Amino acid sequence: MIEDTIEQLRKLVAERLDVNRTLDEITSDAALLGGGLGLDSLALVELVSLTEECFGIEFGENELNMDSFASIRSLATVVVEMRARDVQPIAV
Amino acid sequence: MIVSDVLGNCATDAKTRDNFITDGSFTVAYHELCALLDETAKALAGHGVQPGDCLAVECANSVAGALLLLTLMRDGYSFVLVPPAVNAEIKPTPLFCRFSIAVGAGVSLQPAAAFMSVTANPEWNRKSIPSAKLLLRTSGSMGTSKIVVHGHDKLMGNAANCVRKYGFRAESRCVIPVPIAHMYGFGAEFLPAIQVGASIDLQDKTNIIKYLDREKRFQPTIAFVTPAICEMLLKAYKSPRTNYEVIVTSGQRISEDVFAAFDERIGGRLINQYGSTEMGATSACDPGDSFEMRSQTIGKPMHDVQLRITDGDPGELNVLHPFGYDGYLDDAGEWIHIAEPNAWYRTGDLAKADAEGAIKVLGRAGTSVNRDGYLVLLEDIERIIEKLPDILQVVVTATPGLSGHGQRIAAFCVPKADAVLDGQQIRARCFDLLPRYALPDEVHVVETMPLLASGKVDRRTLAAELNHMQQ
Repeated sequence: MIEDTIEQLRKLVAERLDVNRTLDEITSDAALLGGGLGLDSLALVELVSLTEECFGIEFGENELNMDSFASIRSLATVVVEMRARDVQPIAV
Repeated sequence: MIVSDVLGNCATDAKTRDNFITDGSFTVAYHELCALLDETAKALAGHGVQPGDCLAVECANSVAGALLLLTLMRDGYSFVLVPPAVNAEIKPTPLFCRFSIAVGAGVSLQPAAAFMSVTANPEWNRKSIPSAKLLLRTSGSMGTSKIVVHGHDKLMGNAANCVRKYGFRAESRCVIPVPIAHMYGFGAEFLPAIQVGASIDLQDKTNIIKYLDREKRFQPTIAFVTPAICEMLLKAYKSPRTNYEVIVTSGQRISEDVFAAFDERIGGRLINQYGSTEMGATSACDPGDSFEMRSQTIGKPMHDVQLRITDGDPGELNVLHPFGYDGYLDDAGEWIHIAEPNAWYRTGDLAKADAEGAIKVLGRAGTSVNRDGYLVLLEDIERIIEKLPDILQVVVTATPGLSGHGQRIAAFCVPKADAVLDGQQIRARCFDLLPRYALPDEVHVVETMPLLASGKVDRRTLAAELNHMQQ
């Protein structure tokens, strides 16, 4: 599950963000901010929107933090957790 | 108003002495500032900088950067604020600067000599520049821009106007997510905050995550942003904000939807400021003005500033500003233009007045656009893209609509004979040549340029072809 999500996110960054990076350059552990992929402010907002759209989730303010957006892998972990939360059956 | 007096008062006044400037890594209180500025001045002397030298300063939004700028203002140096260079061919250091000084983000404040990297300019031409001037390029780090000259005294007057308009006071908490190496961040928010001794949070290269994190701790009451930051915060804010007294946006048009949605999220506190590198802050609505007024117009001029529209309706917006620029220098330090005192300044912006006299700015009159707060000459972009191998001719035009950086721009390129290129490839290569704000939103390859009878490129036909391509 997590590996699939990582692959989807890598593709999303390579193909849909306006950052001029190839799929090979986007490793799962590269930092999204600062060094590494160095996404600028606009690209990061695009990433938030595209991730929400692609996985059918909506980030809360608490999830928009440095730890979640450290790397593709950490983001994938958050996405998997959020999706698992969404499909939990509601106790009646 | 003199910088050393202002800082002296802030250091001793009980209301301001414990207020602070922070960048997230380092924090300095106003009562500590004077000693730190003395150390910074000593460090400059240690690097061989002498009174009367003109300096090129590349400065991040950091406490160290703020210390350097305040030292230079206090001690009456002339300095050019230069944005970081994107590639080696664009030289941001004017020839009349004896030294280049760079201060990065998150650098330690101690010792002062270590937080700056000082490089002697090998091409220094020994030209003497009047002291106590702030110099700014008209179009960021692009091409043959002119250098705008401001007296430090007038900058302080401009800042006092902003204090009056936006209600800066000792209790304000001012977040600065826009560059302080720019007239907007420096002249309209940083200096006004310093004048009243307000706390300042300097954010370097802000993003959605950094802003939320810092906002939680700092609880700002005043923010100066760009339309792109408004969009970013609109995405970030899941709950309304009540801490802001005013958020000022400027630099380019903001879409009506974003203005309305973001304004609602911050309790109706969004204001559009009109200004320029030459005139500084010129006009803005008041925080109490109606939504229609704030979203549609640039409100009333700053104290003692006058506006008029000439040559038609809509016509060109003219400004009479007591704290405007001294004139333009070229890279060698020769005056290109000296501003006459009490002369109207032609902004090059198209504007229209409504029945009540409120002014609406419609866009640029000529071949330039406003992107990320920089006035970008389309010719500059053309010249830089034409340096690519395999490219014969380039025309860049403004196109309808907005991108994240402001007014959309498109490049049309004629490749050299036998060169096989597509627009995507050309655009990818431009990433290393152009600052991000100047990168065309789209690049198209054309076989030939449509020409007018005069032999000039027919830009209208190009724009029409673009419409056709998109259908």
